Amino acid sequence: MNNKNSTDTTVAYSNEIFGRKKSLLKEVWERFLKNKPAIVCLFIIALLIICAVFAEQIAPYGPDDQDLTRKLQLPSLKFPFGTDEYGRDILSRIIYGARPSLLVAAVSVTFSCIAGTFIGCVAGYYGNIVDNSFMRLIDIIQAIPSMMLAISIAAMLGSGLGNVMIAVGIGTIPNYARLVRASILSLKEQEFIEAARSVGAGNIHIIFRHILPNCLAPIIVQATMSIGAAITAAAGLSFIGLGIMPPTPEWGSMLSSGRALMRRYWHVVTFPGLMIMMTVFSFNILGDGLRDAMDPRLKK
Amino acid sequence: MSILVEVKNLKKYFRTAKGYLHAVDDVSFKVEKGKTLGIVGESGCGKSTLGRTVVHLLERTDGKIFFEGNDISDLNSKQTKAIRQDMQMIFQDPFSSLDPRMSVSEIIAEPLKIYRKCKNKSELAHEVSHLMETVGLAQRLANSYPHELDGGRRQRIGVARALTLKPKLIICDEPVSALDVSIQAQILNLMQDLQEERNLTYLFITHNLAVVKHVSDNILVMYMGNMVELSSSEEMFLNRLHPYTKALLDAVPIPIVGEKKNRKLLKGEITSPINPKPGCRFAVRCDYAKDKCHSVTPPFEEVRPNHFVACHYCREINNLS
Amino acid sequence: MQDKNRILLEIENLVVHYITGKTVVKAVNGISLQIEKGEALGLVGETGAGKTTTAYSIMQIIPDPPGKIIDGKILFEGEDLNKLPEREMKKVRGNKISMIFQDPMTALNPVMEVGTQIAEGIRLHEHVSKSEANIKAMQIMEKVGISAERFSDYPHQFSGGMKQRIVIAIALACHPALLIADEPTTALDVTIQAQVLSLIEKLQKEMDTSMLLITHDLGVVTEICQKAAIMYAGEIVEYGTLEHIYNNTRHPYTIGLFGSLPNFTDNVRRLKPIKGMMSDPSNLPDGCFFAPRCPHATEVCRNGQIPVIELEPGHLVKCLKCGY
Repeated sequence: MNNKNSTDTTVAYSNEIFGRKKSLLKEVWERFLKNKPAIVCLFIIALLIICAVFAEQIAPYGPDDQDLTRKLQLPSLKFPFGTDEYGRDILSRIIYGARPSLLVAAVSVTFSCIAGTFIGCVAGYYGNIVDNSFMRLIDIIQAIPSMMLAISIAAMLGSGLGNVMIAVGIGTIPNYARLVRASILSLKEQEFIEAARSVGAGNIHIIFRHILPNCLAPIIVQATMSIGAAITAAAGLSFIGLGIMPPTPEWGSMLSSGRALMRRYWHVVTFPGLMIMMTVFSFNILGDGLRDAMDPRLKK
Repeated sequence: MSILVEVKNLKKYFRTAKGYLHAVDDVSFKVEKGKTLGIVGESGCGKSTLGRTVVHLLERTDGKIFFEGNDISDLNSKQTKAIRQDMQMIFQDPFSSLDPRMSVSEIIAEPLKIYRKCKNKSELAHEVSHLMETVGLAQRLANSYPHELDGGRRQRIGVARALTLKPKLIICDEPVSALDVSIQAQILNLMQDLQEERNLTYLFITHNLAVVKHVSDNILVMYMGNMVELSSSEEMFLNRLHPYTKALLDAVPIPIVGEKKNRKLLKGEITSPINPKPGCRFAVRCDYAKDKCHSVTPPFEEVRPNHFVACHYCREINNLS
Repeated sequence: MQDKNRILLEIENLVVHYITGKTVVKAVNGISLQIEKGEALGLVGETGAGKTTTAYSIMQIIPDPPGKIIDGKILFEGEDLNKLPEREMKKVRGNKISMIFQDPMTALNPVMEVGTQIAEGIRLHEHVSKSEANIKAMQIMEKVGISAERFSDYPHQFSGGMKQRIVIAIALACHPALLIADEPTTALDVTIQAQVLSLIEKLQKEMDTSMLLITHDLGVVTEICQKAAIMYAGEIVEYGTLEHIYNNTRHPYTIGLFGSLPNFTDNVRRLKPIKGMMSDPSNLPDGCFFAPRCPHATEVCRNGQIPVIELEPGHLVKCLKCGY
């Protein structure tokens, strides 16, 4: 059992000599900082969050300021993104639109993550019948295409922000459940779990203190990636008329209402579309960056 | 001369797809307080399983375990938690036996927190610091993480963790096998010092025969779940009686020049004891095996003073009366 | 004195570094050794000593980046392998020089029949037909103690010891002049180790193959080798025949290694380990690398150039305090 590599020893000695006490968080952060594209995306997302929170202060016009005299104007200095069929400033609507999109994404991902982690955790740790029953439930959810599932649930529950969050969230529960279950199955066999048991730790202590912190990284990465999917799903629901209804500005519904006007008035769909794309893209790059920053630490 | 731990006819079977794996089959021994019992054998002999069963990390299938005279074979979870304070374990792999997300001080402090041994944070810190000093870990490493340290230091963390609850018995599962020779020696000396200072009792599990001779007062040799030979360390090396023990000791390469070995190589492979039939499990590889060996399980009996062997023809093979 | 014609492998002042960013890990720092035809040399050292890097250098399989052979010659049958173009080196690997790695579990392709894996090397180097290669493969399987009937079995159907025999068969299939064995029995049980070592010894003598045996186990060296080289922090600190190394040990590190071993014969109360740990190979001290741990080190050891002294014919030691 002497297959250690010398760089392992090198790291150990450097830290010994310089006496640095690096916490994992600092290490991850430092590694993350080296990833330029991820930093850029982090800024973009920060901007979006600012838009969502301070929409009232930032947007030049109200989201509902109708003025039919200035309808369907192309982008100009006064209206940088132009106006829609009701004369509303598209830029302002896009800024206000960040709110529902990010809100749905945040809440649905959190709900999905917590539910999925709980299921995966219990299934993986206790095994046998518990594992089997939970996993069959997960199989059922996964068997239905997520968009269809979201549509059905949204149709069943009715429109509205809250219902959209649930509809979008349920579809991604299996992702977390499987991820956490897989982590737990492999962690369960590690000696440090046995060691914890030998010093008197009970099951709850082991799960919260040892197992979950060690699968945190893949969960966080998955969550970041899911945000993009959640935004797309929410936009998709609004596009087909479920979910968030007008006049609440939402990028998906803006796309939908602009559909008929696309040929002559390109700006009505292009800007909302670009926003969706940019947001999803940013979250994905951020997720990649997080995974790269966290992974090498975990691999050891 | 008090007996700290005693095991009687201990059995641990695992259910597998092909049948029952008799990992530990009918093992009995006694260990005196302050002494070391070395348990030695190759893969599949059941030594690690035996160690874990004694400390209740695995549930026994049958047999009895006694600690300080009390029967601890069947314990509920509360009792198990209580007894853990007296019996601790040092694990083999100094990497996977430490939570990579916890710092050195957190790992050592954990048992103290679980059992609420310290009234406040400063008492805890003091205790951790004292333990680190005891095992030879520099204080500045308190906030380091396992992956930042080498194997020797990681194993010291494992030793410190095993000492926190001030146990009476420590099961050492191959504690130095993953370490370089010079580090091995440091850790073995440390463990010896601790034993003398604290009157600790060790169950030392290893496959390394030189190490087991060095640390043990008594040695138990196991093969495929069965006990094969048990005697004092000195006696075992002077008068090895069981054919397997002979082959095992002969097989070890000795760092002395000029001693050309005339060893008899053991034929065949080590297998797993799944649904074993009665009879000696070593018979298929044994040069001395006769018909009886393949059908009747040899009893474990005293052949010389305090020297037990499980072999039908032990006396004949060794020219004893 | 050695007959120049008998020398198969000669390494002169080999220096190998691993460069990652600003860190330079000095893995091998100027080693020299010789292996004659039919001879076995044991390369002994602990983790980080540079033994595996040395082996990889001979095979020219150092990952580049980050590894680089900075200096030195590796003369095999008179030719410097460092200067050989890759396509020529390919003809040497597996054919004239073979290597056995430590872990038999991962050295074999799990989805290929074992016989085919043995025959593969034969076909590559000896330009024979498939059936001829298969026959040769079966012959060598019998030689390593595996029934030829098991030609079509897969690696998972064999135990650890048998897998290692297959690995040995693959390595010896083309009758190489030099066999490099990197800790070939470390992962095996003691009784199986004895079988495999005995096999290696037998085959080595039969085929007159030279061997470089890398190990941390001083006992294993006595079983097979005639000479030994003790490595520390990328240098060979002591070199000579078994008689020299075991019965006339001189270098403090070698003495420390022997002192760390619990042994069968003496009843030593406490082991005498070497204090401290090996220096960081990316931050080696000036002067003697072992000085920080050496009980005899003085100022002179920590600053000067440490010479290699020949204590007696064939017994070399790299130390300022040993030569008298």
